[in-house]
Amino acid sequence: MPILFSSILNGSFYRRLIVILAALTLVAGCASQPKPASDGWSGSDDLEYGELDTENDPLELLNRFTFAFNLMLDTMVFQPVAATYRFLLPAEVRNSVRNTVRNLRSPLIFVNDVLQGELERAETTLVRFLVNSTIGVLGLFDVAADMGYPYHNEDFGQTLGAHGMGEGFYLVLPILGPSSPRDGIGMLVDYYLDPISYAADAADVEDLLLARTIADGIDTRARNIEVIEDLQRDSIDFYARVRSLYRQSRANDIRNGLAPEKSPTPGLYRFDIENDDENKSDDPN
Amino acid sequence: MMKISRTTPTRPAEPANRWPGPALRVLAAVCFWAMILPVLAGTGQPASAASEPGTFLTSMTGRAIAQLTDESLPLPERKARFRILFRENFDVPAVGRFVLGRYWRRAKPETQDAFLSVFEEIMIQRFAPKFAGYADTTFEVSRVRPLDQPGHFLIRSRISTDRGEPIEIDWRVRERDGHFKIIDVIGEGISMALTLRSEYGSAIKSSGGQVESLIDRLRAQVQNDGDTQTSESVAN
Repeated sequence: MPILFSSILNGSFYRRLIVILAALTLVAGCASQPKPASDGWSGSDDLEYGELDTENDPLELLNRFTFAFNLMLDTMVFQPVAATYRFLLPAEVRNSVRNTVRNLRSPLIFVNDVLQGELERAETTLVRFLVNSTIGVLGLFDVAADMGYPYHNEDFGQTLGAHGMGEGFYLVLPILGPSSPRDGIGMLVDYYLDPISYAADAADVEDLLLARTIADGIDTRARNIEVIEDLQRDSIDFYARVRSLYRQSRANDIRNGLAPEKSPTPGLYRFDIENDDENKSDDPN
Repeated sequence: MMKISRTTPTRPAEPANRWPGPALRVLAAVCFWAMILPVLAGTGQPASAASEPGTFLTSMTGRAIAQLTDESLPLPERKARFRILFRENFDVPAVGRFVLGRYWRRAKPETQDAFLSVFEEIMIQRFAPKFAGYADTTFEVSRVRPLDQPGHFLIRSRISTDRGEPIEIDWRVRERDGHFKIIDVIGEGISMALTLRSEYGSAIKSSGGQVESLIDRLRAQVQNDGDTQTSESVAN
């Protein structure tokens, strides 16, 4: 968790700048590599399409291990904590937790909106922050959404993706879960980009980002208890399912939820094997 | 990118109307008509065809809501009703083929059939119980978009209930022999067919490329889930 570095780096602007530059150099290095078709579907137009070219998971063994570790941690800690949180607190309070977390994230979302050149969305985020921090009582209430400024999320991983950088490969991080080099770097850069962390430093508030991350984690987990149960119950290979879900979800976030320009992920669908019924019996294989 | 709904995919898209100067007016007009004409032609011809998949979907969900949301409906009856709707409206063989991907062609015909039958069972078991108590659901089709592949449409729908936020679901529908069938359901950019293909592909690969072992595992799951569901309904 990036916040853990704060004691070492002590938050000075100069050091942060160095880290950002270092991260950007790393990013540039990754970006200049031949772009690994971000969702890995490039070969799917061949007759022999399938999962082979789609996994892009060179660290699968390690990832599966980390995934199992995370699952165990979830069963033992996160799920019970989330269930207790949901049981003890009424929905209104939980909504205020989410609203506050989102409000504290909005300066960072704003920065990423701008870095993506999405000025309308940046405006939405700015209005949300101003309205919700004042009329919404320090973010407890999402007044702005009712005024027609709905919430959206951004992070630096998405910003990199929006500028055409591929994910690199699939990577499961301990505790933090599904990620990729791109999104991992994004998380690190976000920490140094986040205006809230500078504000917290200036105001001498300790561990604000850590608190925000934990509150976000518990609240999000609590909102998805049944969904995750469902996903797990009817899965054959839960690891592979989550990997696919993560990728599709990130791709959707990067597109800001818009439909892909052409068909969803061109070349991805091969429902057009129209003659298969006829070929089925005389297929030599 | 979202605003073009009924234009043909290949269309000159030079926005010319912002050019200054009267000298360019003629050119601008030409470009304007070049942009407009395909749109007009588009609305003329597939207007009925483009709205049909939407009608198909609305009627299907209307029937699903009418038949499946009654909470007092016993599970076996609910499943039986869902099975009929599912077979009529989902192209199970097409989805099954897509989900198996490259392993489909390598599998023997009887293995393919066995997979399709257990796959249908999994889908029914998963989704049939989901409708209970959602009688207040409203379903609107907000956009129908023809895709590059002939006969394929992407339909965006908005599903609102009393509980919680409305959700947006995309349906990929294919027309074949004058009938529409659903081949994929996409929520928040997550495609059911893609997710299952990735998961099943990984499961098959880890068992040395054997579709049979996937089928066994799916069957075991149907069995397990059936048992828990029966005991739940007994407990209730």
